[in-house]
Amino acid sequence: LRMTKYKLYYFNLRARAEVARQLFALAGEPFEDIRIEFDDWFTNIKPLGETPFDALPVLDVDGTKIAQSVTIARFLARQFGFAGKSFYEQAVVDSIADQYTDFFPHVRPYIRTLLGFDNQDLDSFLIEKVRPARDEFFGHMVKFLQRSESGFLVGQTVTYADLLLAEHVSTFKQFDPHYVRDWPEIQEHWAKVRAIPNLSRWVLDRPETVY
Amino acid sequence: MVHYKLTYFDLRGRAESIRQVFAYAGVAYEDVRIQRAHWPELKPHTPFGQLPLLEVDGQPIAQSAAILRFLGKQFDLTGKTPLEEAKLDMVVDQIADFTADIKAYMMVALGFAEGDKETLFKEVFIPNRDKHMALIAKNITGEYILSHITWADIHLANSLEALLSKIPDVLDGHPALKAYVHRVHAHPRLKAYLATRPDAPF
Repeated sequence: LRMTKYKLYYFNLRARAEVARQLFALAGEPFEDIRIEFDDWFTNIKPLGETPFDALPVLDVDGTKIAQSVTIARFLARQFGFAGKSFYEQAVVDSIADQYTDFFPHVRPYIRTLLGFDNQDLDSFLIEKVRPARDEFFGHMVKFLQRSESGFLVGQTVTYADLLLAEHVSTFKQFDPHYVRDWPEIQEHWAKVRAIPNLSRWVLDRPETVY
Repeated sequence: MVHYKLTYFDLRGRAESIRQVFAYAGVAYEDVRIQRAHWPELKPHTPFGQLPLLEVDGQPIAQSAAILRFLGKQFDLTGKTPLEEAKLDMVVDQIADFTADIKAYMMVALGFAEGDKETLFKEVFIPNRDKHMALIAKNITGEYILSHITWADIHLANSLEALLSKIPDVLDGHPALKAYVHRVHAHPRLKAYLATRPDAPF
């Protein structure tokens, strides 16, 4: 039985590759976690050769390359059983991931400033832009959590939508310790996801990065 | 028989690709078009306060890409393997990136925002059009994104056609993409749908 060889190419950041890495960890599946230095990418030394869309992350599956972080997450989630248990559930999980994608641009300038690509005043940006967008996004998430019997967003088991939400919460709690103070369901969800043994082990072992 | 109900405004917008997938598949559905005045009342009853919304035997699915992917699977209009499905997904993600990157220009061009249309066209639209059309074209190596037509082709062709209707020279320099749009829209059920669909500003 030949095992599929997975190689994940990204920068040495969590950012758009972290959910993919967490899916490998949850599934107990080995993968090559290739982290590329910014200089290598930006100075046109592209170690992977051609990429589908001139961007990272890229997942190489036995030589076939897949791009786009949510597509990669969905592909791995479906391979490993973390995408939803019926076609309907899978669609709902996908829609939550899309909603996160819609939410993220509101907070992206904060991250870009941290990484040195933008110049926002972090404190006022947090108050004026991040928190209102967060409130709207968390409001939607809480509706799913309140209806859930399992404590996960959709169905009875963890999905990649749970990982997206919990990772976002983790990251922003570092920047704003009170980030979920007014959102107990979100705090509870985060704790529940992070308590999954394979995942908590990965979080302890993974490289420390600013984002 | 599964009952499908699609709710959107009386526009093409983010529902049009979905309507075309139903048309291509020859599957009946309720095509509900609401007036703006009714939206505030309906909004809290949607998963994310947004449209389009698909209800499948009363069960809601929001987000147009999630809806399209679900219907593609239901109607056998998708990849034949997980890797093929992923290829479709990533092209669709790329279309979404392109749409986001030209948003500043489109908001002004469609009259939703004030701005300098000419400057935005040169500085926002053209560079992004060039970058993204080249990337998308690179991923259509045959007749379709895969070797057979899928939900992602219907969506991509619709997205390109919607742009062409506002910016007629948007695909200049990309004859393969122009041919691709014609190829998809030449399918009899789509051709018939396009000939009879309601008028809408976008």
